[in-house]
Amino acid sequence: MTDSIRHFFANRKLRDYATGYAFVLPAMAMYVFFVVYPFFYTIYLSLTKWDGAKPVKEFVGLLNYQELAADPRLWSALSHNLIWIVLGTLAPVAIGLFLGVLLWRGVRGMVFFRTVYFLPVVLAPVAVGIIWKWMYNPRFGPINVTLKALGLDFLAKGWMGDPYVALPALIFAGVWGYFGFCFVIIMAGLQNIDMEQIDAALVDGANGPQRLWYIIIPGLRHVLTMIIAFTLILGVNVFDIVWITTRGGPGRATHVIGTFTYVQAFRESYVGYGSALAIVMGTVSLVVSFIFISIRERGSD
Amino acid sequence: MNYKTVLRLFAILLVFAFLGSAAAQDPVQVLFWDQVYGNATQEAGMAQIIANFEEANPDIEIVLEVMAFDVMRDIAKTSFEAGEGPDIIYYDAGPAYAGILANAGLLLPLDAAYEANNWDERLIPISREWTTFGGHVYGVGHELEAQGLYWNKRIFAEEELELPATFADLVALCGIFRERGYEAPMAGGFGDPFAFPYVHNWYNILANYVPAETVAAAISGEHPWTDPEIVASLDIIKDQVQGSDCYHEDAYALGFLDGNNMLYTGESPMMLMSTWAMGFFTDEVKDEFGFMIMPPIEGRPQGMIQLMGSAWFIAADTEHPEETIRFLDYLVSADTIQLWLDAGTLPAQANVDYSPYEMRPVYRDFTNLVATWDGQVAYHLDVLTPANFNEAMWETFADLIGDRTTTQEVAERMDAEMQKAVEEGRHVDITG
Amino acid sequence: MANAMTIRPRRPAGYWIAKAAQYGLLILFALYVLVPFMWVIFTALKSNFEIAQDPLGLPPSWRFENIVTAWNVGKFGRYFINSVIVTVPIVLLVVSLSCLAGYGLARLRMPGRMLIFYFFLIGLMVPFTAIMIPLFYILRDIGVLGTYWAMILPQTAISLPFGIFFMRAFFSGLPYDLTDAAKIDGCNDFDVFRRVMLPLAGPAVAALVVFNFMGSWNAFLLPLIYLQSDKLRPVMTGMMFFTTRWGVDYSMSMAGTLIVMAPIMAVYLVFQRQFIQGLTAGAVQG
Repeated sequence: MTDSIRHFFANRKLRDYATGYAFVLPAMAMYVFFVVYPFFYTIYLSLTKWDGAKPVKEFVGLLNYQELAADPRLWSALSHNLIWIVLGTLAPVAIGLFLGVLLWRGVRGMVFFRTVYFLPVVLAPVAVGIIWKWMYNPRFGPINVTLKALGLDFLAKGWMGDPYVALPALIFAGVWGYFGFCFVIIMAGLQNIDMEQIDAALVDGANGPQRLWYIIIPGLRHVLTMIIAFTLILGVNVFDIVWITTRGGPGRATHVIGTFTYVQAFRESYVGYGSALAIVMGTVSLVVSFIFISIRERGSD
Repeated sequence: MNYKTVLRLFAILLVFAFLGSAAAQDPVQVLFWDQVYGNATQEAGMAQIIANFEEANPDIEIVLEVMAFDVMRDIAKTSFEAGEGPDIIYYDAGPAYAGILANAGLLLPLDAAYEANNWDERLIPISREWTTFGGHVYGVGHELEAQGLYWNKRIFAEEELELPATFADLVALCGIFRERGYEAPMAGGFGDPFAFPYVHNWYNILANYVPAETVAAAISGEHPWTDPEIVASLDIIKDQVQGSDCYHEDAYALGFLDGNNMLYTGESPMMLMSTWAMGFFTDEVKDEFGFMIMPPIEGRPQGMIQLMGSAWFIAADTEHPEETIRFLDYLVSADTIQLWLDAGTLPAQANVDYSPYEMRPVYRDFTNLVATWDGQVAYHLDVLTPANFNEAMWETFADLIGDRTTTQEVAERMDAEMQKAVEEGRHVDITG
Repeated sequence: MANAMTIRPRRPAGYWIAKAAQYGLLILFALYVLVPFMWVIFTALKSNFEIAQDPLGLPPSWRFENIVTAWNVGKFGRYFINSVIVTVPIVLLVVSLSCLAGYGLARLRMPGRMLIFYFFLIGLMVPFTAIMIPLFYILRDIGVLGTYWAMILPQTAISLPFGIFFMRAFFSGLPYDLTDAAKIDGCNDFDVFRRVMLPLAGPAVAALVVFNFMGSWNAFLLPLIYLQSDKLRPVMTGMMFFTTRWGVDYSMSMAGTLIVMAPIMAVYLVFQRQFIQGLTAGAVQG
């Protein structure tokens, strides 16, 4: 026995391999125990009906998923995620691009603008939510008070309490907290655009929108793909800002899949159902990531 | 013996004396989670009760943590499961709330405590009824409440109007007040996520439209919620109360507390609300108010909804059951009655003669009402109905507000959820 | 080459209009950012009565004592300490484990190296929601619920995939001559790592520190579910308890919000460049 161990350690290659694994081991251990194992445990739980307390979990196979497919609340939540993803990606990226182009050639006070635009990004989503909950307060919040002062009473809605307006209002708050991030990244991407191409285009008589469409956006392709992918994932996983402002309400007008899962699993004690929801959310997240990674891989030739 | 040794011995003695006394007098800490009060008066009331108790019981220290009720509902179960919960918690009774905790084995059964402290005699029956799960009693009730109509005495006198004798009179009054320039004849805000004041108003209509036994059967899962009478009560609340000109046009944007405020400031002459709001009649409120049961709907029996605000429950894994029960007993003793009244809440104690106690006239309307009521006792649904039923009810009411569903669909949804709950055993039977 | 008689062309009027529009728009967005902050500050420094009277106006008497009251009532001192107590170990653990694993996957030969890397990458795509339910029961069963470890351990674990991805990308980019030279001098792999590679990793580590510091400091849901007791609550979760407790007391609520926001904003204003680099480096990478 000791012979083969000695042989093992004498072998340079095997020693190298062992060292490699040793470097990776601590991270791997934590990752497996606190991420991988729970993920499979969630899959298992999604196949049971359990309230989190009974000692015996009742195995029900795919019943939870069947119920989910028929549950209008799930589709409502997913649709809200979709709206969040679309609006919550288009708006900040467009704003970031717009501001980036405005500031591109250097402008007085560039540092000031950059500092200001990035400021909300530093705040926790919870803080962003609280700030905007106050902004949208129907009686005393600055938005309604200003609207009423300008005589635009009909625009002064209940915002967070109005089922039709709550989600867009929330997204508006979310964009506030995020567009600075897109802006900074796009600015960095703009630095890499070849100025000669722009000058050549100017000579050829290209106007602003043409320069944007034919040179700037293609030049930013890598950065744009990346930031859109990143934002998409955030749109699937959004939780904090919704929870602190509306808790998914009014009714289910702002429930996203994250908040819905939380309510089912931790408030309603439908642990099995909540786990199925969690798996659905995980799958959506994985699929979205995959799509974007493959688009990127194909794109960067 | 030289002086150094003496000094050393003395020092050792001191240390032991200190340790000994510390061990003997270290107060037992009882962690108490309470729900947010609405105002400073109520908070001061609880602070005084705790202070009085600690003075009488120097071996106990009450550590108070106060949080919003919905936040408390978020973390109560996980906290108890983690072993990090409080020793005593003020929590909503009923299968949707405390029932979930009790069925998970997280609460301490109080059968023995009820006997030892004679609580059955000292408390109203629903204290035991509403906190009994799986055959054991777990809680001690508090905040006896009723639902009814508040009215501003000054405004009614100035406008020379009579109090409504029937429900139809009440609806007509809304129109009259509006003509006279009141933008909000009824105080109310329904902008909070669950629009629960709207739902609570419906309970009131239900109580005055459908006989109490039928409602009890429906709550117990033995009678369909799609009963046309129940749907009719939904129509009444939707069209005649909420859909009428009773409320401020922004009512659906206002928060609950902001809405109630319109009564206290004199903006609104009336409010349909439970007696929980009594706690807000602080010294800053100048007008005088009256409280009455909602006037009857023509040809229908009146019902007074009696409910308990919430109840105190004890953690199953508490390390200090004896001390905690001692505190609980104090909370329902005669000593605390005046303090509760000052805070605008009525304890759930039985057979209390309120005449010697000081209270605002509007409370006295309420205590007299409770003492003299001989009509039907009706139900506040969500403390008796299961969690999935409640969630569905609130969601569909929000849709009802937004005109995205009909009252028939609301009833059907509630019925479906009740049947599901019965299958899973998540309901309570109150017909027995 | 500039000559003494450079004629400066006169700018057409259109130029100045365009410039005005440009600055106008830039300022508009700056206002979009700043107005909410202003309002939080104004509201925090008024009393509730003043807020009801004149929601839009400047604070009549700039009540800084509101901040002190909110601090005491809300026990923010405790919350901030808790945030520090969890964040420091998390950052240390994530950075050290990510450097180790990232270097190993970048430079050390071992079978299945790419497989291991992809295995970690999948973690980037798994949302917290997908693991939060069983994690609760796992943490309870190993007995850490109710201790700071209930946040430190899971938060570290979920931050590892990104950290490893990031450090691996960095280490891959370093030239081989340094390692080769060190090896010739007789260093083993660990020495190479410790003495040669790590010192070079300064900027990357700094970025990772900022990134994980923010992630841990701003965390809300994880501490809510796992750090049960009020004694352990970090500042963002604590803020939720505070603002829901004082929901209708807008003055107090906003004062608490201001307390919570101020430190991060102050640090940001001083260290902007590092912040921006740290938070965006991750995104720009790869």
